[in-house]
Amino acid sequence: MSDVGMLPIGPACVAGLGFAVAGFTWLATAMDRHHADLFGRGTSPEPARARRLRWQGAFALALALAACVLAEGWAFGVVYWGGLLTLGALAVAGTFSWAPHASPRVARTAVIVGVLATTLSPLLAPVHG
Amino acid sequence: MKQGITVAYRAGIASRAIAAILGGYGVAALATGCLSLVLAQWVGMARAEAVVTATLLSFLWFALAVIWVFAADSALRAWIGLAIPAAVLALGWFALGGA
Amino acid sequence: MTELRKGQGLRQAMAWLHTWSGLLVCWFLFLVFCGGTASYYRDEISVWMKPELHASLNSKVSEVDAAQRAYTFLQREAPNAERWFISLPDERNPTISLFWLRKPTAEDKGKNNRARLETRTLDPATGEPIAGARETRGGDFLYRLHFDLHYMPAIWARWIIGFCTMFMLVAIISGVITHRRIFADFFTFRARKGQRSWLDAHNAVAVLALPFHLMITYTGLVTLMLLYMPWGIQSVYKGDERAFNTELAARAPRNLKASKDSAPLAPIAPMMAQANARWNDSGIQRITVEQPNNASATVALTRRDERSMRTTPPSMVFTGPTGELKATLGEEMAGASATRFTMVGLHVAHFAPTLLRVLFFLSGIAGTLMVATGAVMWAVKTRQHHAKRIAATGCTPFGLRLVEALNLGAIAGLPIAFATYFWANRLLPVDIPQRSAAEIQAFFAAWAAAAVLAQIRPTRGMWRVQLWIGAALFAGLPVLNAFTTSTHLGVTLFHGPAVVAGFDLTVLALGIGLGSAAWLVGKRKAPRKAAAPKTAKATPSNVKGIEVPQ
Repeated sequence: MSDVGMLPIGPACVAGLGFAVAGFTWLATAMDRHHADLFGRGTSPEPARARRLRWQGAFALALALAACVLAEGWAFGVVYWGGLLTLGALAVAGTFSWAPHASPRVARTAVIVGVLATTLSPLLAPVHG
Repeated sequence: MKQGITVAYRAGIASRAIAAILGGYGVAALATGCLSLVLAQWVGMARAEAVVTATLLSFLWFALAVIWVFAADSALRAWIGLAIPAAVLALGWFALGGA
Repeated sequence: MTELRKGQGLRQAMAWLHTWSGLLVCWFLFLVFCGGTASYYRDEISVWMKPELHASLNSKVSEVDAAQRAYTFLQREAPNAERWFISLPDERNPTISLFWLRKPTAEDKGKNNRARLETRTLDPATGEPIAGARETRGGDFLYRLHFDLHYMPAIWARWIIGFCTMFMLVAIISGVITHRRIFADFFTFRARKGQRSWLDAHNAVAVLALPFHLMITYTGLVTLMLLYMPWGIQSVYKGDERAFNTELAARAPRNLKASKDSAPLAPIAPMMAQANARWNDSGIQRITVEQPNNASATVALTRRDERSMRTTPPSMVFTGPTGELKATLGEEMAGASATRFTMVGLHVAHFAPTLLRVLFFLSGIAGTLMVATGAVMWAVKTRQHHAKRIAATGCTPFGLRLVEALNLGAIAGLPIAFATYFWANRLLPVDIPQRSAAEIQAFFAAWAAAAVLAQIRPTRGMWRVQLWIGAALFAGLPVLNAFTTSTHLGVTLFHGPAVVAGFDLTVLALGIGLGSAAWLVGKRKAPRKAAAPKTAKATPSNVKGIEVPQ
């Protein structure tokens, strides 16, 4: 496994969580129910927008997987990814339930945190051996 | 609890419960024994590995059998749906195990 | 309650099945999830429960030194045992754990092997038991609880738990089939809407951690699969378990027959050196000696495998008297065995480093919440369903009252029991006889009290009382720790041991969680927007349950 340990695990988890939160927010916004939470009852996203949001969301979840696998290899990485997806989904469920209008901002912040954690990771911690 | 719960209804539920728990276990057990033999003798797996593989899957069969029992249209169909695979698997076990 | 009717479709049938397969065993499952989740930190719990160890935690001893000290102790205390089992220290458990199976005497007739099992914990720096260390089973009790239960033969418990776990597996599968629409409803949580809120909470903790729940349930069954489904061995090996185990060749064989001759054991250091050479110094975690000091003795060294998810790491077996290598086992595992031991590994998560262990622990908590919300939801829904009848007759149906009482006794009562176990650990005098049994009795006494009170008054008021008691007991643990030991948060947050600080902080968080639940229960006087008829005089939650034959 030549790609084990390319990312230190701490920043990888932060990045993974950020990407998971962003990804789930975008996937949720593509659903009628949560689009209505944001834009009013009865509205639903146009098909093109919904498609774009789903691609964005799926891509973000894939980035989360990549962060975990780069840190810990496939076996452990997938397990970390599962756990981070759970945490991220719970956070997004909470956001849509209690502060739906904050969700676009939350998504943007989360993805920025994810990108920063990934790019700054060599500086943040020694690489896992 | 509600009106409309007749003795026949309760009997049906009880019948399905027995089918699910005992019958489901029976089907899973037969499947495990038969599949172990199939893997060891026809597929050519090492005997210990065949047993481990078949046993790993056993709980899946058990769960699916239970799902079947409660998805079936009637308790009778539930039992028949278990009895037929059970018979086939038992036959297979007997045929292969004799060797 | 919807009935199982012909022609209602698969989703309805599966909804019915999900409800009953979940409800009938939910209190057992709650216990299993609580005990199992705690088990992820069983070593850490054990360390917290042995304050006399805390001083020696920071010393690092080499594996060879630790092994040699263990040998010295065992040669002194149990030279003629049937089996020695030595667990060398690691990051999570800094002590040497010893077990040995002493030879049977006349008194042991009719008892199972457990009666002959002796155990000690040694300080790796001295090779002796820690002076004055209190006797406690620590986290191991909570671990054993979740599959061996207690007060019954282990085999009964494992069958009971296996039965309940199959119910859980069916509940998961039927739940998934029922909620095929989940992708339209996935992320919704509506607060303060009575049974709808409970459903949303149940969906959230169940679906969002679904991979974990499915994994933990199936792998739990796999862990004891040869007990539950020995039919493969029956069909292929005609029941010959020994032949099966020999061909599996995963672990060193057990129960060697002792020969008549005795022979002193060869020193352990050269064997460890040989193992480390072969395994690139990855380390040795366990040493198992069969028939020590006998001519037929064997010594098995098990590799420390931190990067592998599998249980049953490779081992090397040496002849006892000479130290010659007899066999290497488990290094190349065939697909099925590797799959099986990886599944067991995922269940026990020995491999999980700090961050991953936290994720497993949180997922386990989600599991306990899943069971709790499901059980409460059923009670709330059923009470609402019968609201008219209850208001009119003043009687609660027997089944509903029973479930409400069991819910209270389990969901609010178990946390009280767990916290009492830890309180007993600190408060019981160090040198009373049968101390570990006394701690365990405290656990069950507290639970029994909570459960009996729950049966007598299964009311919202009782929920508040018990949840507040649980909250106080948990949050009070760090305070109790400060009064009874010198390694309290004031010390451990700065100087360590980190494990002890972690325990104190976690129980504090659990206490706050229970307190929040208690506060929420107190806040809501009556469910808003409930479909209760306007003519109802008594609020449903205050009606005392009276047994009504169905």
